[in-house]
Amino acid sequence: MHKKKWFVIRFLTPAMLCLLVIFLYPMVRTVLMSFHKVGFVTDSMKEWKFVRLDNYVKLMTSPLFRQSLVNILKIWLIGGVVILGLAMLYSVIITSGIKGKNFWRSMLYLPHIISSVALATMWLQYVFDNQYGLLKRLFTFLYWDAMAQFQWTAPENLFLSMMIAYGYAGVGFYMLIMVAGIDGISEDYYEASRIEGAGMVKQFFYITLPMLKDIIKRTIILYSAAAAGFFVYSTLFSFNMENATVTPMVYMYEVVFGSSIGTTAEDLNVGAGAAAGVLIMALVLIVNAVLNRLIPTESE
Amino acid sequence: MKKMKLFTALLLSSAMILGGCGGANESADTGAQQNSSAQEEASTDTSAAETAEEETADDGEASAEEEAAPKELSGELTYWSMWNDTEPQGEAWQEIIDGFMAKYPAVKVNVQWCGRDNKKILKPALEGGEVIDIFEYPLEIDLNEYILDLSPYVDVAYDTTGGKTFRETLLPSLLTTPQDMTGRSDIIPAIGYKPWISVFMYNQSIFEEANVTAEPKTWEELDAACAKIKEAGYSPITFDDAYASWLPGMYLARAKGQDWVRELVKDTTGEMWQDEAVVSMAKAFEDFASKGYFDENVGGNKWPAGQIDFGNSKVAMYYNLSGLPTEVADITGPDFKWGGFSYPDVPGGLGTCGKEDPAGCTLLAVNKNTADPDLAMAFVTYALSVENDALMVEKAGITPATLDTAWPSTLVNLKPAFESVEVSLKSGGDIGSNADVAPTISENFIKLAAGQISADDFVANMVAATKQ
Amino acid sequence: MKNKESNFRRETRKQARFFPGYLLLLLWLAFTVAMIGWIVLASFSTTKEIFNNEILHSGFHFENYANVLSKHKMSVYFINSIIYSLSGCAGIILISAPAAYVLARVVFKGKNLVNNVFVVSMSIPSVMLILPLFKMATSLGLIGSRWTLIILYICTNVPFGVFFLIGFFASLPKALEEAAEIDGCTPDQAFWKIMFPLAQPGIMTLTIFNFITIWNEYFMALIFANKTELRTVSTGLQAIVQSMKYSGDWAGLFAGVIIVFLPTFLLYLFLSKRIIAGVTGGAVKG
Repeated sequence: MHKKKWFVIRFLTPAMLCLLVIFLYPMVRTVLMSFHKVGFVTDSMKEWKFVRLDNYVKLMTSPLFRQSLVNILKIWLIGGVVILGLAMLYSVIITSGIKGKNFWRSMLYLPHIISSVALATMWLQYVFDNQYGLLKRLFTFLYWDAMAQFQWTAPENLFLSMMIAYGYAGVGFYMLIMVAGIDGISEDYYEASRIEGAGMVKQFFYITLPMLKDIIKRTIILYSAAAAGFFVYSTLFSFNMENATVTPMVYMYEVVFGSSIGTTAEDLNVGAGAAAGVLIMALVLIVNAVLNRLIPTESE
Repeated sequence: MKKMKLFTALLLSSAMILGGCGGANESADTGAQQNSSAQEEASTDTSAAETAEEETADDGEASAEEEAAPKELSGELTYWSMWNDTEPQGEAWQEIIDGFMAKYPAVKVNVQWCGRDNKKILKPALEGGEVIDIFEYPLEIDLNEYILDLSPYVDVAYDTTGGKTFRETLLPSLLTTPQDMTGRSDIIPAIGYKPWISVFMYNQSIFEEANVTAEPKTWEELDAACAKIKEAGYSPITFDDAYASWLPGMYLARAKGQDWVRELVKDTTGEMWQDEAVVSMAKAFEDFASKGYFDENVGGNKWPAGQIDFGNSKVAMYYNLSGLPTEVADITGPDFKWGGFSYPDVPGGLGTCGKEDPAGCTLLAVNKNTADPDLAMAFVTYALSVENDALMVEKAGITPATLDTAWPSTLVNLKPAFESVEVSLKSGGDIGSNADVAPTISENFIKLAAGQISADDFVANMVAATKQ
Repeated sequence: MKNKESNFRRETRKQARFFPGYLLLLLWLAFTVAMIGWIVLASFSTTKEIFNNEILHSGFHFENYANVLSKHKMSVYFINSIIYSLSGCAGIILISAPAAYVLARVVFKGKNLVNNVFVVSMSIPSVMLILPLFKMATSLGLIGSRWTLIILYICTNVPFGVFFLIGFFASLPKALEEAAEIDGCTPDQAFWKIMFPLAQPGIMTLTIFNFITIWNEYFMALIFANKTELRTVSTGLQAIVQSMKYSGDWAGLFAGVIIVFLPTFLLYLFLSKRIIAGVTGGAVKG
């Protein structure tokens, strides 16, 4: 018995250490930090100054941070519906019995494994360019002047452009998961419904969708986590922080490691960055809780 | 199953290789790491209990050592550069570094090409105890804790100063501007080089073709010049998103002065944005937009799209720093004729055109925690010696730092603008000083210039955004 | 013969129903080919040609690639990314497999609690951790060393690894351990010699998943690998793109993008089935 205990401890310790050192301790410290005024990231706790909720108040009164919350909400809700909807559409097409299923699936998934930096650069420096860009040339070719003159990178359109690029990279990933889910549905259901004369649309709503409940929930959770950490595309699409692309994570990065916020030393406060982190985590936890409420998991 | 085994074998062997790799790496790194952690301790100790006395004591010690030190230089220096090694400036620096190491074989200079990211990575690196002896001080961040007072080092003659003291070889502003820029008048926080100024850069060929004979000094003259240029078939003005707020910022600085602009962007009532100066500024640009003075792509320009249009002779003017010719050198080619004029006076303004302009220089600072300040200064003075300054001017087309260096052909027309500046402003009249509001100003100005919103919309949007 | 023909016709009719589906897929394909194809061509042109819409006007300019490769340390970035990804993946397995095994097959007090802690920690975003981690790395003198990122990549992915592998170990038959015990194996031996090899399919799926995650990670790499010798392919490319923009070298910029894109693409051509299986497995299960 003693031996077994020793064995359990030995096998669990490295993983538990990871948890304590890399997750638990930093989390507690970040929460504490968010209630303090902290000059530099590397300041020791002794140098922190307790300021109660000041950091949160400061964040909420900052137009830029508020904008970042609006953006993340748009990314999550609108982006989520469109991206997951497209993923669903493509996964249904791919599993419908078309030829070359594997080829199409690989093609759709390709953007996801390319480095985001490379992909975002392709979009920004080529597709959306307002002189030699792909879209500009395409619409000029089609004599669609209004679209040819569309300024994809103007402030009012930048968010849309960024989301198109982000969606192009992301759709394939969620499509993979959904295809796996649809492949798991027994062919018998479709066979039976076909005999009863159901069309493809009916089949989708009465068989595919209900059977995919768990999988859809899974994709929503994955998408929400990705949205909460929305960072790369923002920084690549904007030279400085911009209203169109700023997200809480970008804001936090700029407060702590960047230069845009707090050009004067008195404003510089790492604690506000920590508070932004806490708010992001709160959002993730709320979304997860709501999802678990709305779509209870059947299996597991 | 066979494939699986193969895969496992691969995984394991790669893990082993890695182990080997990591091990080798570790042993190579240990020296540096120990060094850096020792440095860090030293730095936290001193920074925690720093007093002015200690500081001066340090300096005294340093200069005493210097007198006793033998002329033979040896050791290792690390320079974190704000340039990329692919830029002309970076290439010039590389040449200087190679020259320095050839001259003093016992010295090794490590260089880290940070690019403009240096403002993001310098502070974390310094805080992390990274060994950095020399760095370009990015004004956006506060590195006061890490700079060495260079006062004891400038009135000394070096190998490369030809018998004069270092101070005597430099343009005087390069020792005083760093003080203004960092707000440290008590010490010499850095040595300046590559002095810059922010002006309307223009394409002389287009100006000639459009028969614009004199550089505009007032808003009306600018208006007239734009009309002629437009007539001649060119876009008069363009800008990029990154610098968008400079145009309105300088207008307001000309109208009411930089301090007022600073107050404006800090305003939380929204009232200051209804001020007449703001309204007339918005109207002036609305007028320019409606006359088609801004390039058609101005609404969607992502840096550096606009400056490339300018370099391609599609647009006549681009309000920017005097470093621009170097950035677009590959596009303009060597025959491009550069000109530059100070931001014009505006109606009812202060009349500071040609006297007050955003100006400054690149700051070369030495880390307080450097192991060997003399070696660091030997390198700095070598880099800013007349011949190396000439090399930088020639290779990188930058403005000279020493009195005896000739100006490059691309910039010689800007020399008058440089010499007339009496008061150095911050870029864009410091309109970007409130980072929370800056993106909103840029965004609305871009829309205004692109003709998407009216002057009234601009004012209304700014009021709405700043009112709390 | 007749039968075959009618089969063919039926097949054609069946495929015709899918016309809208094919159209959507073809659109996507056309766009991807046009985008990447143009960028490949642009990377062989000059910057002036790119802006004047006359790509390849003066023939192929291979010097764009020569420039990028000689001026930037592309190979260093690739080696770094390979080191981070491989050692990260190996470390994750070495730490999470034993823990997952214990949690899956041994009954002990507090097991549920431990289990839940792993599950909860999976949903903690990295922004919550990054500030204290930076402080820790600084205090340990790890800034400026590859170890920082390796350790972080391992540790932040361990909870998912544990969670993922529990399922695999749970599905193995109990008889195996009993047999091993009779043969005189200690529990350790039973794990490393019998159970661990049997979990290979799961371990492989997890590894592919982790590999792609680490290879494309950007946020931590940006903060903890801030100099040339440490940069990953992603952050390295970002540095290249910035510097090419500053020097106005668009052709070089596209060449840099293609250099990063190509190896991943080639690897994907050969391993797409395996990669897709790995990613799907990882994503569906987690």
